[in-house]
Amino acid sequence: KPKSLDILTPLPTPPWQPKGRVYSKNLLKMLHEEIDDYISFLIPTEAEHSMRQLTVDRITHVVQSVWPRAEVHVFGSFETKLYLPSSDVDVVILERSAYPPICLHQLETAVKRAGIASKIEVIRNAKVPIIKIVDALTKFPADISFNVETGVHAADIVKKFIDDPLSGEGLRPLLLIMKQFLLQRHLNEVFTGGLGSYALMTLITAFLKLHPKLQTGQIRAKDNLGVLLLDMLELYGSQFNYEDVGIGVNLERAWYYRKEIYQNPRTCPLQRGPPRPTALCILDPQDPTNEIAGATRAWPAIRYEFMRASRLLQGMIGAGYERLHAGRHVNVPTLLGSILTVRKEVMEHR
Amino acid sequence: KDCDASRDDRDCAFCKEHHRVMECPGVWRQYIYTALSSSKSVPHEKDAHIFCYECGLEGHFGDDCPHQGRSRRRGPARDGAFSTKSLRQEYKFERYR
Ligand SMILES: [Zn+2]
Ligand SMILES: [Zn+2]
Repeated sequence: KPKSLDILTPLPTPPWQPKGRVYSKNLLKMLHEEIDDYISFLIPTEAEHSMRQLTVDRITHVVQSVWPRAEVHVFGSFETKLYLPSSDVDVVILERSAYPPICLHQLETAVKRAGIASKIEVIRNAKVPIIKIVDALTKFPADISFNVETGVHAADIVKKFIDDPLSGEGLRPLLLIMKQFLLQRHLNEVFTGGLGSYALMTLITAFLKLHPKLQTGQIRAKDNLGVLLLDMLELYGSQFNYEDVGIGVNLERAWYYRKEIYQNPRTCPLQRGPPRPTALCILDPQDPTNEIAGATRAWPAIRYEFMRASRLLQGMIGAGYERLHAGRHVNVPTLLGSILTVRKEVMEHR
Repeated sequence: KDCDASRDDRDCAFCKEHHRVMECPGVWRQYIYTALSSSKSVPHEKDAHIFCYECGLEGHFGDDCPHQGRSRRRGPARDGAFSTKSLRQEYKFERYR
């Protein structure tokens, strides 16, 4: 009989684990403790945050040399510090007289003349045209877009979701885990069919707001990060019927609806028309006529990854319990590291 | 000793039901409850937002969905996170620490 692969095969120790850290033998508790370590590790240092701020300041300076009264804003994850070490700095320019494609050319020229970028690339043909630069001094990559008001207001929404007394404490950790989860699987960029961070934030918020135990105050998110991660991966990975059901979230509440109510093209209030049957369907918390996940063509792949991760973690916890129950030694260096890897390269800024 | 004779390796070491412990939802679905919820009446139950992930309707949870879709796709519902049980009472399995 061939020996099956041991689900608790030791993995390399991940970089977020403090030296000499001893975790609980109860693997569910261990998962929770690992999430705490991962989040502490990802909190940006003062130095990193100010280097990002400097990148924004340098861009602002160049932008205002072209359009003196332009407003320069940073996307949602900056102020809330919900970015990964590897995240781009997302800058939005609000200036009525600037419109693509001319403004792209104007800014490109100005950036080159000021010499602030070691790399510059203009993406003209995307739905939202952007200029990608790498700051020559801070080395941070930045994406610059024009007049995307929703991105500016998104920052306020994220802040309000984070401040929600029942679900807010869960949003930051789950978002930082799932951002990295999607990033390392190349499923995080909207223009390649992935799930962008705004839609991801909305998806996680819906899970938290509708979780029976969280919304009734039976549990607190910060005490239950491991089991909430597992509940979420199970819900969106194997249970949620996204062919028939869509998700809505606003500041007050979250809800589901039957996608068929939007099927009639003549009465459908959604700006981009009826949702595709196979697509994940999420309404923008800022505007219920704006569907924000329809472009996520890789959703079946993302869903599959959620399911795999949930099965793997569930299996590891079960195997650990069984072993402990049988009086055997349990030595698992990491559970979270079986679904997340933070590479050395992305840690250069730390 | 009938009990022992009927046991096989698919009897879960955690909840004694007929599945492998690796497939046991109870072994990992363990919540740490707030002090508040130890009293019988849960504060906001009547205000709960209850929607079904299976059929999209309001008023029941996906794990309890009475509509057909479920059998077609995912087998029988379990008393999981999104069930009335989850709203009303502590999960049926004992905690292990
Ligand atoms: Zn069991
Ligand atoms: Zn239903």
